[in-house]
Amino acid sequence: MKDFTPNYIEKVIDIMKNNELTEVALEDEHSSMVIKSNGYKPIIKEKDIQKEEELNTVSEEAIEEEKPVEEKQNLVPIVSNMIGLFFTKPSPDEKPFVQVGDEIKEGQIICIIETIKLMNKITSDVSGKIVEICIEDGKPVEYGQVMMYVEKN
Amino acid sequence: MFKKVLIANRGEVAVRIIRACREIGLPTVAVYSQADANSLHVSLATEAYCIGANESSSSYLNIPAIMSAATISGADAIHPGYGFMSERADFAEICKEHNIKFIGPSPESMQLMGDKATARKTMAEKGVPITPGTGIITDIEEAKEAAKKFGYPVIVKATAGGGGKGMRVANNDKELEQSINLCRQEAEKFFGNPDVYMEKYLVNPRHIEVQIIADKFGNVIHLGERDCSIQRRHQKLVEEAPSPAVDNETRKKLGEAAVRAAKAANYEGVGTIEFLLDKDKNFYFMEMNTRLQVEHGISEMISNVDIVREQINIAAGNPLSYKQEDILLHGHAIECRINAEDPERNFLPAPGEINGYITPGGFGVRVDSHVYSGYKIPPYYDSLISKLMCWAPTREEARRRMYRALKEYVITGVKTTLPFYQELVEDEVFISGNFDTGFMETYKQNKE
Repeated sequence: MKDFTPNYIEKVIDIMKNNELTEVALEDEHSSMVIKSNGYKPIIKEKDIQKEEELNTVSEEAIEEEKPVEEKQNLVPIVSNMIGLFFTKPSPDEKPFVQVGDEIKEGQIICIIETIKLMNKITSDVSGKIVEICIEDGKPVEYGQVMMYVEKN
Repeated sequence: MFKKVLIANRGEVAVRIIRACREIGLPTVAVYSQADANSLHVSLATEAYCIGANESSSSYLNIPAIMSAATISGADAIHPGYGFMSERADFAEICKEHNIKFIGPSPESMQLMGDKATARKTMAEKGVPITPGTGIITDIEEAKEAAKKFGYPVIVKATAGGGGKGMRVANNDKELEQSINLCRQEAEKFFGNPDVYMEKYLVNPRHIEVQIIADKFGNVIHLGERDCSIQRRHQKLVEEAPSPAVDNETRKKLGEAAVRAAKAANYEGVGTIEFLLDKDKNFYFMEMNTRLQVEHGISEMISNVDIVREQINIAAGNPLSYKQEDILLHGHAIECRINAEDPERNFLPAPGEINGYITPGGFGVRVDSHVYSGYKIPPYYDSLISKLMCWAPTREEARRRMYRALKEYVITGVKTTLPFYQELVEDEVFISGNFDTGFMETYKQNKE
């Protein structure tokens, strides 16, 4: 691990910036690392972490990436109880029923699921704030699939 | 040909249909319940959709969910397999309304053959032999008169019945009266239709069925008969083709009767005409199964016809690929249905995880199954693990091959019927081929 110090990685990022490289893969006998550049702002992703703590000190961005997953554990998923097409709006020209960031109440219509030309209005069984809508408008949703995550009040 | 086929079923039959589709070059859509997420049909299909919870009623019998999966995926045909939606005329009708081809007969043919009393009447009119019987019973005294004429025992059956439900045997007038009343109540409860009829009851006949295939141009062929006499509570255990009790002359008559029966029903698709065969080689029409049958594989082995492929082919509107004279039956095939059941505890279903699985192989051995090592058998559906089929030039060679394959087959983690079959195929009466539907009763008594 001695080579993968913060100083070392900063140097690599400088080399990437100066040469406009988009991806660099590094590997030694303990761990491997891929640094991907998104234009001039590099995004660092880690793989195969043997000494996690040491690597976490390497990149704050990598730690941030894990954060939403941890938060999700405190969220309430809204799951589809039928198979059909998922629609966020009552009709293509109208506003969506709900958007990310909206406060919703139990019983409020949140989407439509179309099954064999039947428009089923789906209501929320929780109150809270919508933090994620997991399915794109007009795409299929299966039985048991998570449609949205709500932060419960 | 179709663009995409949705398989509205699970287990080994879903796998069987996907295999046929892949060989034709047809993309497939699997539908599954939550309990079946790790089932083989889900991973073998081109796409798969979870359509409902574990119970069949909310998944494999959930018409809106199945139709929704079909429209989402753009499937233009639905194969119902056997069981579940396969004999539901209302489902075939709904498919028609949505411009999706139901791979099976028309709703009209299904209704005609589904109503047992009407089916008998139609068969009698077309010269297909039926057991002496009555129409729908309206008057108990008249029924007693008829029973006297036929001679007891008689059997009272619900016209909407099937699968062994809504049937009662009566040996005298008193029992007949009770049977009619009970049967009506049962029929009302199970099928929502209290109509019952009566026919002469043959004591321990052989159960013989003829495989037919019909196209929409009125061409009908048969692939010979199967003998399914070894049953336990109306559930088939061992099937073989051809029947050891049927000679060439009877086979010809049976085949012709089956073709007449299919034509009478204006039938299109694959189907099975069930007959009862008595000791004097008289046979009587019992019923028609308007679908692919579990045991179709042994007919494939002796005829070299891929029944499922041909079923899809004719559903797509093509004429039959065979004429009757093209069908040359060769050799003998036996099938054992391997179930997750405990034969020691009266065939109690034994769901659970299969932790070891080695299938038999070699020339003339076929295993149709959806399980693998690590597969969990869910408790919500039937307990079929696999169908083990063996072919050989003669019955004795096929039987010995079956014994060898049963001994090679390893399934650990759950109780199975393998040990039961290993004993059964070595039984003297089974070896002789001289048995009837009373086989299991005598076999059980001898064991005890």
